[in-house]
Amino acid sequence: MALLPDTRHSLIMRLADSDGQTAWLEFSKLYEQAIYRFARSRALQPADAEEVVQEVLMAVHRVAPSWNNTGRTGGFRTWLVTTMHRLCLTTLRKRQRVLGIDNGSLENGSLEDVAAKHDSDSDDERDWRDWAFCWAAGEVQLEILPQTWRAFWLTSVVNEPADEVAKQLNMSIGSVYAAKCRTIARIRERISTLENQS
Amino acid sequence: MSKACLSKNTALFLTGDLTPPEEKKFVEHLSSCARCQDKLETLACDKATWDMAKSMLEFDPESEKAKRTKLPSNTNSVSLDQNSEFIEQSESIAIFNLLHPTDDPRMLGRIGNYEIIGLIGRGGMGVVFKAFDQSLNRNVAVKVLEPSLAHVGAARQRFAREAQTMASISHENVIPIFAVAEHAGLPYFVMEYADGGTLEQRIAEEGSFSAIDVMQVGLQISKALDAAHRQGLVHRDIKPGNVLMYRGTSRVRVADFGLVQVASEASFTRSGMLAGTPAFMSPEQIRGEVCDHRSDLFSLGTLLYTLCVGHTPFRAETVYGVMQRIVHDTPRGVVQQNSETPAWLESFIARLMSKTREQRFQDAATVAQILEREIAHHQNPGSIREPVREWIVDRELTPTQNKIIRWLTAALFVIAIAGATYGVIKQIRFSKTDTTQHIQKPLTLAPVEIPAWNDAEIQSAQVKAASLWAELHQPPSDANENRFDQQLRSARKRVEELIRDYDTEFTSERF
Repeated sequence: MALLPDTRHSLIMRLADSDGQTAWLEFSKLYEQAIYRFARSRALQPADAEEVVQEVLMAVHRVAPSWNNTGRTGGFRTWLVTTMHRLCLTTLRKRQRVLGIDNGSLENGSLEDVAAKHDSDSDDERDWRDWAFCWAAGEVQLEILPQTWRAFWLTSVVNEPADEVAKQLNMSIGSVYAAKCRTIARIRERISTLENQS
Repeated sequence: MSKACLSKNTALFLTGDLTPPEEKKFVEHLSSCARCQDKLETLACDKATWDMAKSMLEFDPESEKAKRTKLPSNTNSVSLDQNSEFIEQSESIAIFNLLHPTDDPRMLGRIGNYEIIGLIGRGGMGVVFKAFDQSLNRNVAVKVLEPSLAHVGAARQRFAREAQTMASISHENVIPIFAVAEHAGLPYFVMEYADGGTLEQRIAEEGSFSAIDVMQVGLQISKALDAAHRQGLVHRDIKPGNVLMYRGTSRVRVADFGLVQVASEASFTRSGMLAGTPAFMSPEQIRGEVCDHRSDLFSLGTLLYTLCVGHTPFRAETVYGVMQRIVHDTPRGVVQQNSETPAWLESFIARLMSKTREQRFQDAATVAQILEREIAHHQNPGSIREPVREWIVDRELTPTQNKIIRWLTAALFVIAIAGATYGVIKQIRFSKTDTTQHIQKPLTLAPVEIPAWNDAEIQSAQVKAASLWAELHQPPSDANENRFDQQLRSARKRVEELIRDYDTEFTSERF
């Protein structure tokens, strides 16, 4: 699935076609998970994260037909990350409003602080780094066997000991280590491919 | 387990560059060699990346989604035997902790004077229980505010409003409210319990409905909507799961006014509202535009479509696919899929499902009126005449009619091209041999429709027509339709070119 980084532009082009249905499905499947993870990492609740996923994809769909290729590979990506960031923030604010948490009840102006913090330059970098990770992980997850992913996830994210995971998944300890390390290595490799492009 | 440490192979193993036997050996070795395990972990990536994995992958999209969809929405869509599985989930246990102990061993607990029999469903704002009202000896449904929202003022207000809304619409097709009260600091309200499940369950069990049942259900929902709309309330969540049925009668009642919007109020989107199926949403709802009562009519159209054919009109693999189709696509004709549907009903549903609000029926009362007349005729065709369907506007054809018209147009074009080509050739030849006679001819294309084709010409036209016809009979697909449009366009272009050439030829010769 080395498909995406290079052909991102052509994918956008195909989205712009009247018959972009297939491209759209490809796009949404791959990005759904990544956007969801990104949103969850921004302290959004599952329902809100899902809403952000939908809104980002709808926004992509809206801009795709008029997307200008200026020759910069980073153009779309920058736009996407900015859009995600903005939507996460809006949703967070909306949620607070809906729940009746106004600025007054938080420490004074704290919401604005959050906003200011999010708007700073260094955060652009953080956004991009996190996004690259979510995206690369999603891609790798789609490529490998579910069991391999599970072994990786349980050991490196949930922090379960390898021997227990091995028992649980009926694998040898060696295979669990193999799954764990090869998966992350692959994710890292994807991230560097992405970085080299920008 | 091998004695010699294979750590020199770690890097090659990581990149998958060992030979299969070497790899097998290394994995076996890895099971017992802590040194190789550590080395592999260090080589795989730096600490920052491991940390990143922890923070970014903490929440698994798939399992979270599965968990969320497993919790039914706030409809009566869970039967009691499903509850046991349900109760196992920790969140649900929290809800059952709310209940006060009961003396009756068959019951789960108590809320106020109501003995709780089971959990019916759960929505964004509340939990619905099936309960028994001892004082009146009847089953009821009790909706309690979601405990986590108990201290949120806006949520409490909103919850209270749902109860008020339902109580204010006193209508035979809207679920009645019996009481509003509080239990352990949580507001709840008591509604009628519908013993026949939801329309959604009925469709899942029995598939499509007969035309008369579709009309009956449509009539009742449109009456309920009319009552709500008259009070300035838009339901915004009309779908089969929100229409309740009763055993032994054909009555249905609309439930779940949790999303109701006061028409004049600014939009208040419930968070996660998009999370469920958007299959019954209107295009304007999907675009996030202002909804009005006509948005409910679109959803009603979608619901009736679903009843007619047994599945929703816009299906796609993903939620976005569905949303996209709602906004852009015309669904397949109902008659095409269920030949027992009367043609007028197809037009009726298509009209409800018009993409723009202006093209739909303008109010629920009109919808109810039309259905009333149709039902009367249907039940008594001998004495009640077929209603005049003045609402069928010519330009709004049903998809099936549209298809037929396109075929006919295409066939006519083939004939026109053949005719025109033949005519032009004839005319040109003719004009070259006898200019004097030609000058008396009018300069329009009309007389060009020369009679008498020779056999070969007729045959070739027939072959062309037949091949186009065959092509058109292929199952409809988007690709086909696009090609079709292109053919029409290029045919038109060719005719125009021929006419232009024809004109040029004449003008140059004459003047």
